[in-house]
Amino acid sequence: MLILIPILSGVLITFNMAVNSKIAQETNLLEGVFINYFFGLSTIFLISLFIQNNFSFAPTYAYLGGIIGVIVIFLSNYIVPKIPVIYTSFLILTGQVFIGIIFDFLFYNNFQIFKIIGTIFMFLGFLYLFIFDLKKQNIF
Amino acid sequence: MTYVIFIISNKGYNFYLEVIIIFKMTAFLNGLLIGFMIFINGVLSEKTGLISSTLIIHIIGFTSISCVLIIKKAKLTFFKNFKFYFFLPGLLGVFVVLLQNHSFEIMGASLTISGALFGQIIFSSVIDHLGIFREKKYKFNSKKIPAYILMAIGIVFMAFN
Repeated sequence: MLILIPILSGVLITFNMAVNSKIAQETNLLEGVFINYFFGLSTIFLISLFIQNNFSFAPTYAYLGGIIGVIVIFLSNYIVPKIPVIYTSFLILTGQVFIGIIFDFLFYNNFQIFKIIGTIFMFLGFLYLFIFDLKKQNIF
Repeated sequence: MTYVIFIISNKGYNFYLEVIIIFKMTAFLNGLLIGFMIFINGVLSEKTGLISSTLIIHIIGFTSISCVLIIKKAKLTFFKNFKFYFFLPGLLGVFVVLLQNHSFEIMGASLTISGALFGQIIFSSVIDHLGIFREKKYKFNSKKIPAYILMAIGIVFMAFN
């Protein structure tokens, strides 16, 4: 049943994508990102008041994640209203797996054949959906 | 990237296929950025701890989007027409990070990632079908089931590591 924890996180990610793009449509793209970070920062600030952990400084590049996060939310707010969520999710996942394979290869020097086979299967599934929707002119 | 999309979508309906492909390129680029971000955030979380790293990530993100807004001299209007769901993504986003890091600790990277992928694929089709927070619905069609089976097989393969 522990597998439900990461599955729940995936459900929340997708839910967030949909709500975020809705907020961006009600306000605008930049303000949507701002609202996200405003409430996110408030939440984690409150949590950090009650729970402490040991802190030590990380290398400078490790702090860039926050900036990339802003670009990620901006781009997803831009894309989500325009194509079905399943496509957005799928393409984001493929990009993630792709860079994951490259990082594994570059930094840990292992080339994981199962990940590649898995990606090929997911790509075939996506191709099936794409051709199906193209025939039905269902995309726009 | 955004600029290119704007030009092409201005050419009108005839170019719809090109437009689809470029949206998909943007989504793919976004995935590359997320993969990059997960790696960087992982390094940060290892050094600074779960709660502090989430706090740092949010402070840096909040500062950078505030700078962009100040440079663009944008006025914030969301307080005027505040909807109950405005606070949801920020709140839930924090729990996504916490859940995923907890899951990394107890079951390792591969199962965490595969599980999250599975949750995303399934819930995406639920959102498309019900049209949650969207203007347009994309109805589920039983002829699409083989596509989901293929994707599920792909996820199972990714879990082997």
